Amino acid sequence: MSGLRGKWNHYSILGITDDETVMLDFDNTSFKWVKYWAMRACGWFKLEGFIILKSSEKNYHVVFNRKVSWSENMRIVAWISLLSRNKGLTKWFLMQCIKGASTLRVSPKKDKPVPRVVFRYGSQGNGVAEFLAYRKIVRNIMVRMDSHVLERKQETT
Amino acid sequence: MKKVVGKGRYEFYGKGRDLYRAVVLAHKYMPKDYVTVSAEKFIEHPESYGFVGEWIEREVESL
Repeated sequence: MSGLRGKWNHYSILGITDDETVMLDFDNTSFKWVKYWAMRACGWFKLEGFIILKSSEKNYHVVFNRKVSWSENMRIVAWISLLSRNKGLTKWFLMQCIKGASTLRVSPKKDKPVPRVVFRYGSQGNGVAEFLAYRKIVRNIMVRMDSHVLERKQETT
Repeated sequence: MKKVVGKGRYEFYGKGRDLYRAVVLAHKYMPKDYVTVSAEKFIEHPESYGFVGEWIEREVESL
């Protein structure tokens, strides 16, 4: 993990895309508000559990545990977007509709760090576990690429 | 160096090792468009999905 504490050496931004896992991207929102909507959606749609990741100051991602179809996925995200009136989430939701799958960032982006898990609730064995497993793969890629770049820098100097 | 404004994105799927190799290659091949491809296929023929180049600055609105 120590390799990730330094700055990401690349321009690229890596994310995880999935159409069966319900994911949310809240911008400019307090943790309390994100938790409220995650809890409410989890209960209303029986999503079993969720994790909240802090992507940067006042920006959070939510990943739910129960696997759903793409149409149900978007029904849930639309419901939360509409009721929470979160502009950032609504914009993100529209972009995911265009793409046909949901994506959340797992690498640093400009001055924003790697999103980290700040809250867990309920079951974690399905969608959440899968997301975290893919996140681990992507993190390993970043660590390997960081060391690769450092090696090349050392060769040139 | 010639500068062009482009847009695009790679979406890779496949095994961990292939994903790593695809991500490394993706830094050398700029996406031709919004590309979804298996990492294995991309490694075999990266030129089919992107063209050789280098990002010099980048703006990403959202993921």
